[in-house]
Amino acid sequence: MRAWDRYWFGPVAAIRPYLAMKAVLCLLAFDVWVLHVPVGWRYGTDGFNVAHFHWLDVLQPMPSPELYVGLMVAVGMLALVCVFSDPGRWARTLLALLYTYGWTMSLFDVYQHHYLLSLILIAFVFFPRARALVVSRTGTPAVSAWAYALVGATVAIAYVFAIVTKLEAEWQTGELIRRLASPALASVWAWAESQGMSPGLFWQGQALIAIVTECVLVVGYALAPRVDDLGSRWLRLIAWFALAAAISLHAGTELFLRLQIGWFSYYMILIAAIYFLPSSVLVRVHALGGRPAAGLASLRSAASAVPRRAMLIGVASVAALVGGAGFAVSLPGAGTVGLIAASAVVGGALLAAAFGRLHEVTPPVLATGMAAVLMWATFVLSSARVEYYDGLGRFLQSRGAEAAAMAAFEQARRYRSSRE
Amino acid sequence: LTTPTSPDTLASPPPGRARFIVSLFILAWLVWQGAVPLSYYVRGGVQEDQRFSWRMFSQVWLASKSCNVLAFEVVAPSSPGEPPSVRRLDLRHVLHSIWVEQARQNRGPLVEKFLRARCDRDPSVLQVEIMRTCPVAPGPVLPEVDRRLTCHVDPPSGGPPRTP
Repeated sequence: MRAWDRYWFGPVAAIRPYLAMKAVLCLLAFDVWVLHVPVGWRYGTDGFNVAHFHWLDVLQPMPSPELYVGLMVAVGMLALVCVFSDPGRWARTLLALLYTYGWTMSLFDVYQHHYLLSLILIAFVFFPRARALVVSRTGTPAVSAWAYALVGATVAIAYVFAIVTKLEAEWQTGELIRRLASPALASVWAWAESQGMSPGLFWQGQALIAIVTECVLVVGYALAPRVDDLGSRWLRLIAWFALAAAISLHAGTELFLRLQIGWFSYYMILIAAIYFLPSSVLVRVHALGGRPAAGLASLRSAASAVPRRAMLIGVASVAALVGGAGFAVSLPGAGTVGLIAASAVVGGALLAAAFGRLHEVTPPVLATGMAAVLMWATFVLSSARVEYYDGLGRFLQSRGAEAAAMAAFEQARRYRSSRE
Repeated sequence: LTTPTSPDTLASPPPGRARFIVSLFILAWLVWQGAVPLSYYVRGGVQEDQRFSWRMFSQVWLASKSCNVLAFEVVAPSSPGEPPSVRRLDLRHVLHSIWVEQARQNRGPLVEKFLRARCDRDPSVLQVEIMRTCPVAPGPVLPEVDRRLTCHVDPPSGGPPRTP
């Protein structure tokens, strides 16, 4: 095997691509529901929008809260369906497309990590279709997963260019990090100053630490696909360093800098844990958290014993639950997504029944039901709806639409009181 | 636990020709991932559109935060013989604050679309102008931007525009 083949097609512990996909998709589902939906009201305001690409501006209709919120509700549900079951590469492809359209539709969303997530979702399409059952049964079997190595390379490239940015003057002098410092970092600085440290040394030191940490991460991600195959002690040591670097860099960012970057840090820590922790640790983590998926996978074989009529009644019940959950959250576009998802459940089941393979759709059907329940619970328990209607109310007030603003505030108040 | 594994459950390397195609895909992906951020640096000068270049929290981004954006419209006179008037737009009342933020970052397509939208919205608007000024400060010097769009080809009658 040539070096190229060994790097991209060599064996990695199956648990890594498996967990990478499931964990990122799980985080993504709650990310879009908790952080994206609350700002959905702003799409199409003042009849104005600019997409990331001119051709998209020409092709797409004016984005609206219905379109954006509906899209995010759908992305979250589809992500969880892929977590709880393995419907196929078509589902991952659809997820990557919907999510990517979600941010490219408007320059409202210029977060670079949403672009990174799109790249990762595209790579997920090519991840092996490993089942929870197989992974937990056999411990750490090895798979060839070139897309897993590609995600690592993509993250490494992102860090390389992040380092290049930090070589600019304001990073080198520490000026930029000083201006972004949170009160916590300011307190550390006050303490360092009391110990006689000069401001230049302190702030430059912070910038230097960030650069060195990112260098460690680049090396770590570049070598990660070879750790399981070579099993070298040095590679394992580098992996531990890289994990420590990822945690300190991203936890430090959350703690010490005033940035609005959503859950980016959590994604990066999660991905680092999966790439750098020993596979035996990941297997143990999976044994704790992967039971719902394993349970659903086992239902596939159990479902073959269930009478066809009972199966169809079950499918209809799940479809009703999914549709109902969409309407119950009372957000624009969510009801439509509920209807589409319910139709997909019924349509998919009928199509499978026509080919005598009804039992095969049991896991995705149940996964859709679970995703819908979690979606409903997330909106009921989180502040997403309160923030949505508060934001809408404030905007309408700024435009002089007092009556509509009051209606939005009233809705926010209702959801706020229902959480108390 | 007796579920049979599908052929790609424990995936093996793609065979011969498929591996070659996947290798080409990987290569193209890597070139794309390298070339797009590199193009930012190749373009030279102060590039303010930093999307897809992994330039998180750059000095250009920080410098643009202290820029100021102003917009004006030249409006046709309400009665014949009067000169057109100039009015200043309160951007926060006609655009979401994020668009104003983006105008500070000199996003060309946004500015052009805004100018066009103002012309289309009100037939009495003869010309729209948007200006960005940035204070002189240490770090990158962001250029002043002054873009205007003439909504109507016919020149307004009644003399030069008057400011309110």
